[in-house]
Amino acid sequence: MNCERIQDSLVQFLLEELPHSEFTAVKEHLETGCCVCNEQVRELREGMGMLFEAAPKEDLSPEFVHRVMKLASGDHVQLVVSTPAHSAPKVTGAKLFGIGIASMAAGLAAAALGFWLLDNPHGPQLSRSLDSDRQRDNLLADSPRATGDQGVSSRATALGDFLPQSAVPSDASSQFISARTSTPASNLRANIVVDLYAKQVHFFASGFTPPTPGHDYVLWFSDGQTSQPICNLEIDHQGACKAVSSIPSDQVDGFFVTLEPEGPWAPNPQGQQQLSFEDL
Amino acid sequence: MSCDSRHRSDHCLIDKETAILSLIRKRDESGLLQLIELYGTRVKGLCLRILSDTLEAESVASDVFLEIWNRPDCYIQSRGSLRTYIMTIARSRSIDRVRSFSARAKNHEKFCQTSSAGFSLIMHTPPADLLDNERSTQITQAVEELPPNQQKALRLAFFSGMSHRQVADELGMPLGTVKTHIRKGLLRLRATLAQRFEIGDAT
Repeated sequence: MNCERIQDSLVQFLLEELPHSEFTAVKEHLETGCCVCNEQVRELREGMGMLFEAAPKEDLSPEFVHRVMKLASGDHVQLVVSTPAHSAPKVTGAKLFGIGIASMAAGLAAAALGFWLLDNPHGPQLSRSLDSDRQRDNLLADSPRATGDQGVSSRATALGDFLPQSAVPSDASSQFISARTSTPASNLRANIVVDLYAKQVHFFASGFTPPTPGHDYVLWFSDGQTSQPICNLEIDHQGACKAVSSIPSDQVDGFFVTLEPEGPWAPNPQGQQQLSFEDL
Repeated sequence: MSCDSRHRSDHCLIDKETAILSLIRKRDESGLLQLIELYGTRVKGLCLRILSDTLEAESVASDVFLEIWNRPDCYIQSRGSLRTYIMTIARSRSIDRVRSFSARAKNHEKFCQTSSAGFSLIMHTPPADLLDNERSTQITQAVEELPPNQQKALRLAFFSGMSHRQVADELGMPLGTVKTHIRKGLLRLRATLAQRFEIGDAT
C-alpha cells in the first residue's frame, strides 16, 4: 500500500477496526519508519485523545471501585463444606473454572450438609442481583429440605435469579450443595446445585459472551483423579444455559465441575476460565 | 482559568499517568485506584453512551480497568496518552458487548432521540471537576466548529460505537468519504485545539 492508502485507513487502524490483513499491512508500513504516516498517526492519536476528553461522564456506583479492586487483588471467596456437626471443615479456593468443593466428611447418607461462603471482609458484592436471591433463600430455608439442617444457613442455599423453580428437585429428602460463582472481568455468573440424593448436578449460568449460536460448552466432572465430560451446554441467544446431568461417580469427595469453552479435549478439559466465588 | 494553567495541567496529567503506570507495573493497587479516580467516570460515560445500560456500562468499565491492571505493558507511552489508550479500549470493549447482546438497535434508537438536541457531549460533570469541565467545554466547542459531516461522522464513530462501515450506511455516504471525514475531522480538531493552547501559552 502507498502512503495515501495507508493514511486513509489510519483511524480504523487505531480503532482496531481493520481486517487482519489490512491491519498487518498498515502496521508493517509504519514499522518501516515512514515519517509522514507516523506523524499522522501521532496527530490522529492526539485528536482522538482530545475528542475522548469531551466524552460524557457518569458517576460510578459505590460498589464499582470495591468490585474492581477485589477482582484485581484476586481476593477469591472460599467455600467451606462441613457436616451438620461442624466437624473440621476443610477449605478450598476456587480452582480452574467451576466449583471446587472441599472434602466432605459425610457421605451420601449424611443427614444434611451445610456450607458457608466465607464472608469477604469488604462486604457483599453485586448486591443488586442478590437481593432477590435472599428472598428466595428465605423460602428455601423454610422448606422441609432446609429446615433441620443445623449447618445450613439461609445463604447457603442461595439460588440465582435465573434458577427455574421447576428445575429444583422436589424430593424433600434430597440434599443439596449450591454455590454461586462469577468470573473476574466478565459478566458470567453460574449456579451449581448438587443433588446428592439423586446424584445429579444442576448447572445454570448466564452472561456468556458472545452468545454465538452453535458455540457450545462442555461440562466436565472431575473427582480429582480423572475428568470426564458429562454433558454439552447449549448457550441460548441471551447467553444463558442450563443443564442437568448425573454425577458419573460415587466419589464426590473433593470433586470439581469444570466448564470448557471448546472441546471435549479428553482426557482433561482445556481452555478453562478461572472463576472466583462472590460472597453472598 | 488561563491557558497557561491549562497547559500546565497537561504536563501534570502526563506526570500523573506515568506515576500511576509505574505503580500498576509494580502491582501496587493504589495505582489502579488512582486510575479509576482519574478516568472512571469518563470511561463509564463512554461505555454508557454506547451501551445505553448502566449495569452493562459498569461491567465493561471494570473490564477496561482490569485489562490495564493485568496487562500494563500493552500500553506504550510513545504512542499516545494513557487517556487515549483507555478510552479506545473502552470504546472497543463496549462495541464488543453491544454486538454480543444485539443491543445496537436499542442504542441507535436512543441516539436518534438525543442527536436532535445538538452536539451535546457533556451529559454530566461533577461540580468539583471545574478545570476538567472547562477543558471539555473547549473541546466540545471545537467539535461544534467542524463541518457538519465531520461532526456527524465523529459522533457516530466515537460516541455511538459504530464502525466506519456502519457510519457510512447511517449517513448514506461512500465508505471512503466517511473515512476522509473522520480523519480530517480528527486532524482539524487537533490542530484547532493545539493552536488555541499554544496561543494561550504565548499570552
